[in-house]
Amino acid sequence: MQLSASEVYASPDPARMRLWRCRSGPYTQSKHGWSGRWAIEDVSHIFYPGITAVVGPNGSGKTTLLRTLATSLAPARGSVHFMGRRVDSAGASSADVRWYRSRLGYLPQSSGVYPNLSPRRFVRYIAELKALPAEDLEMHVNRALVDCGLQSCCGIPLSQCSEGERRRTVLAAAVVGSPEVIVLDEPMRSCDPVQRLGIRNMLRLQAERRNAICILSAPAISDLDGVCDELIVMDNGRVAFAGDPEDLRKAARGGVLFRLLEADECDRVIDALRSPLPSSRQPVVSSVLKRSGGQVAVRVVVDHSSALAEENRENWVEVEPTLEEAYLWFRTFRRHPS
Amino acid sequence: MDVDIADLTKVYRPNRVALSEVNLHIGVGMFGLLGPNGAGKTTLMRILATLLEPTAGRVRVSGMDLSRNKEAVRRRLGYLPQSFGLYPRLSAMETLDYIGALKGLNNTADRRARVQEVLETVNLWNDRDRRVREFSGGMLQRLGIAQALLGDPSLLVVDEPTAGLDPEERIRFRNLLSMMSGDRAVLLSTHIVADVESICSDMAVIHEGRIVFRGAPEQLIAGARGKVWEVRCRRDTFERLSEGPEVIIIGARNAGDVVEARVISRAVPQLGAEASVSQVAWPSLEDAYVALMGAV
Repeated sequence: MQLSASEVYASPDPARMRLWRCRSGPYTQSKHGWSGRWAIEDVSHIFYPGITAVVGPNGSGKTTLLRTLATSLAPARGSVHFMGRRVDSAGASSADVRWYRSRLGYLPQSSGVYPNLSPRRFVRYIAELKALPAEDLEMHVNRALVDCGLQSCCGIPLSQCSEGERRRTVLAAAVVGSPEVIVLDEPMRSCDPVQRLGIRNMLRLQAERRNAICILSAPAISDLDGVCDELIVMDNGRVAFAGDPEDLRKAARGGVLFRLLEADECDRVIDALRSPLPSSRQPVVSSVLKRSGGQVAVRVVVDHSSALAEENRENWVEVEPTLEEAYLWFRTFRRHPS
Repeated sequence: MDVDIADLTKVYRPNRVALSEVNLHIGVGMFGLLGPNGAGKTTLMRILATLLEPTAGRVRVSGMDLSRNKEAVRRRLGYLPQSFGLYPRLSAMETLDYIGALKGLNNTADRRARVQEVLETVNLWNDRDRRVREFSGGMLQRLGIAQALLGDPSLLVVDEPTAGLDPEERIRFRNLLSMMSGDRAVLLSTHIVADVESICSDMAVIHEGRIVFRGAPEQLIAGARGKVWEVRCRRDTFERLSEGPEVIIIGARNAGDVVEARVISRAVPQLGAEASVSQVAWPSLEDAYVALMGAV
């Protein structure tokens, strides 16, 4: 993860975004008042064209990271470079920030819309603010509306649209004109499964056709399985993992166990798995499926099956981890490397 | 315990049919309800929660007619709506004591005992004296389930409970639901198909106010077998594939120079000699749901 300064300031490289030792606030507020902790601290990363997903528990700094990348928050220290130019709102020239923003599409975590405008008018308004060339404007607006599945409601006022339609209108406004950098904070919120799929495929096309850098956060890891090219796991304002999500899955292999139990032995068997281990090493239950016949299908995430006592291991079957289970495994057992 | 829904119809305005002659039988255990936005899931749940009057049809809860026995059904019902308000200055314990009193748990000692029981079930007993406004999203959702459990309901209706929860909170919450389903009927509506796959033994898909699938998740998956493919091909080949008709892309990612994708197609995707195509033996529930909705 750590880069030397010379590496970071090396010759300008197109279509890359560099985050160098960024620290961003605001200080997080807790019940004890201002806690004096930076929301992200000393984060360095290079983003490449493709889809990068940022995940982590609530309060781990995902939104602060995305806001810093979207110039909506100035880093207190560190810098953001895009194509060799400094673009963060703390140290860059205003010309460079404008240059970067014209290449950026950003969906904030919470966003307002003009209730009297229709989705089409709203997206066109944003496209005009982005100064897209007038002759292509309609084409870009139409494409964004179709990509975000808004054809059926694009003419009615946003005040009469559903929450999901309003959210997707702001998403369409973020991706209109195929920006080179797309930063989306929870784009799938209040979307149904097919709409989620539509957003994933839209991002994939942006990444493939326009070589765009797409960075998104998602609270449901299952939305990212087989989708993102790179995964960043945030923990307490720092990057705990960054890399190919398949590497995370490979690392978790041998750590996910399956067993079919009778309903009445379920608690006892899971307790038996846990009790010999110290609390930080205890298995966590990933899913409990009560079948209609009375049996219960249980998947647990363990440090590694070989860490279990012999008599506990034999009835469990190792299964291929889902990305969600790989995340759970990482958060539980690899968060603090032993 | 069972819920029997017969010919249930709900019309909001002359042109706005939310539910159209829905027939559904829900037994004990975890029941998942999937469907697009606006399909009628929330309407169905609000009718079951006695908050909406159906236009036509009837609902029987354990044999009791819902519209004639609202009070009796409410006593057996626990409901966790999509969003709910709580008094921020009350502690978790005070909140539940208050809701319990509203629910008609009139004996103070019994009510206190029940509050302790449900707080222990949702693992909030150690936080019982903290004010609700200090609670995280995951704790609030657990408190929501705790209030729904107060009356020891035999029917629990839970509408999109995991929005706003982080990944670990979501996993814990869905397992909590599954663990306490026991001899209750739990109706769970969600947009996270993987959650239904991991905890529900029975499910339905609702689309435009009608039930378009009813059965076990395995049955929906079995219907998609032979239609889900894993392909590995060059980028330009993939772009042609994604523009073609009759192919739905479930997910795609870069693997060096090639794209690895999972697609749904009735026929074998034709991608030329350089691509590798293999059939997925056991599709995920999400694959199967998308195949159903895309009419593949």
